[in-house]
Amino acid sequence: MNRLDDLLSSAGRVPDITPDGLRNSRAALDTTIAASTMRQSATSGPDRKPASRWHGGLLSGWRGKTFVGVTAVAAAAVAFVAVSAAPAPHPATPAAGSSAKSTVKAPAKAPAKPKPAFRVGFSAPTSNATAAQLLDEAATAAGSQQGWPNASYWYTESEDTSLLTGKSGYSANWSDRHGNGVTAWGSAPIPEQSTSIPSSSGPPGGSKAARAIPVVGDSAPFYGYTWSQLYALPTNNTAELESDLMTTAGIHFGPKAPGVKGSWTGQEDLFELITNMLSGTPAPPALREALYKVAATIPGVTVKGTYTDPLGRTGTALQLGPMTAVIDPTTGQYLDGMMGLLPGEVNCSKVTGMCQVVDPSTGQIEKGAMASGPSSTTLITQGPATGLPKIVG
Amino acid sequence: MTGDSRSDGELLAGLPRQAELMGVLYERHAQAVFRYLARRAGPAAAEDLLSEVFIAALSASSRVVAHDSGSALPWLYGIALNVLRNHFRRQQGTGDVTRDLGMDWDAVDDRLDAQAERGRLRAALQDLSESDRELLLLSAWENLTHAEAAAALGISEVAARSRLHRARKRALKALQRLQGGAPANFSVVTTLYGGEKAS
Repeated sequence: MNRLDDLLSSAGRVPDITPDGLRNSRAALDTTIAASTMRQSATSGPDRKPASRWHGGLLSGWRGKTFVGVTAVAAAAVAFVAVSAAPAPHPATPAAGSSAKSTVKAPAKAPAKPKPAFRVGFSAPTSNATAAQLLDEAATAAGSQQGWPNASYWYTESEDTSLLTGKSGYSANWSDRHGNGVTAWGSAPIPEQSTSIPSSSGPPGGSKAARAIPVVGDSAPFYGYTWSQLYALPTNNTAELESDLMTTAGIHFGPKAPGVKGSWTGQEDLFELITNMLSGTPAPPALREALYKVAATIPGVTVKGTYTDPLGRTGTALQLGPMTAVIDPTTGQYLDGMMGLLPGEVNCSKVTGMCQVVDPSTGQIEKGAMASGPSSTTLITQGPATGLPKIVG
Repeated sequence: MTGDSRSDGELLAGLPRQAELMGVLYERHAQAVFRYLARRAGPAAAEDLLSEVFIAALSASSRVVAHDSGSALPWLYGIALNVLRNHFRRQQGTGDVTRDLGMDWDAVDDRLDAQAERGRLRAALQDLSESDRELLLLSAWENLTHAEAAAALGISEVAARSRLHRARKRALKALQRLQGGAPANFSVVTTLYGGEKAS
């Protein structure tokens, strides 16, 4: 059990049905059964064969996501509070002038122009290269990265930052070759050498103390693949790899379902899957190269600009729909991923809990809840580990 | 009535000729289907919709076999989700494109005492597509296995496993974001966003 499971379990507690409710529903069903039985006896014939498997297709096309793009500002009714904040400096690298100003403007009588507020540090791209060219460049570089075919454990550490509030937290994952492992999180870095981490269900500790939960081996822990399958995936044929990824993850290309809240397209799902596999699996260099090559074939990926991540590393931000990935094309390193509202000016209302974001390049406005974004996940490090930390308490 | 010794599979196979077998399935699974509906739409709506699920199942029963686990429940949950979608669609009219067809959040909130918990639950589930959320909830609330949840949603088991992995990752990340520590110089901002405690 962990915080997510605790939360879901308390939200899932419901009372039993009342005896009356149970009887009434049965009575309604019996009426229909009776009608149906009469029809059956009227048309009785040879046994109808049941189909091999019921296939509801409930999922096909019904892909919701959080944010809905809007084309008009409806600010009149809601008092927006403008917030200025610098991007969160990484605790280990105190930035010059770190006295980040935070000004709160009282709801104005006439909420004229919302003040330019939060801005994520994108600067102009350093070259005119297209997203596909940059991804191909990253592919080549990633192919000559070091691999760890003989590692027994895999370790990944990342920093999760809310780009609205600057709050950040750290998470680390250890996994053995069967997917058994440990997930830990806390408000300070969690190094690979950690030997013991308090259990999330243990007694409360200091505010900076990391907490951990055990991860029980799943037969295919790395986005549907086992460690050895990652080494067996086709890497010489982009189309073949793409098709394997899509089958494994159940991704389909196709139009968004009409009238449904938001929607991730299949292309966006695939782009996200590739970034997840680059940032959280022991994929060998040949597979990393091939993953970048598949990403280069996804239409619609745009170059957002140059981005300096919370660790001070500079890379190129590539965006597709709700997902932005920051990579260093010259080394093939995956640096950072962002999800949620488009970066740009952000105006939030503490009355409604909603924010709207203006994309500076297109002028498009997106709306979303404050709690959920935008956020970034910075890949601090990944590589072989010497073992799994113990969970204590 | 619950003493019928036939398996769900046998009952389902007999349904096209003997509609009354749905009554046996009702006695066996009505409680579980009610809880499924109540978790997503609240107890009152669930009582109204319960018979609808079994009636809809009756007309879909010529196309079904039991899941390999032997239970008709994954199939009934799949039908219940369709019934819920129709229910929410009826309630909300047709013009609203931001409707959430799988969940009545007010009903969910009624079960969580603290406002903070409600915010956390929404934040955790917010980054998920409706289908991924349903997958996560089928596993967390209805205790379905990967294979059963896959059958309920009409997807492959491999896809269900991969998606559940992604859904849990997204949900955990959202919670981490809420609970991550805040650098001191952002305290004013975090206060502004109410409900999140600055460390």
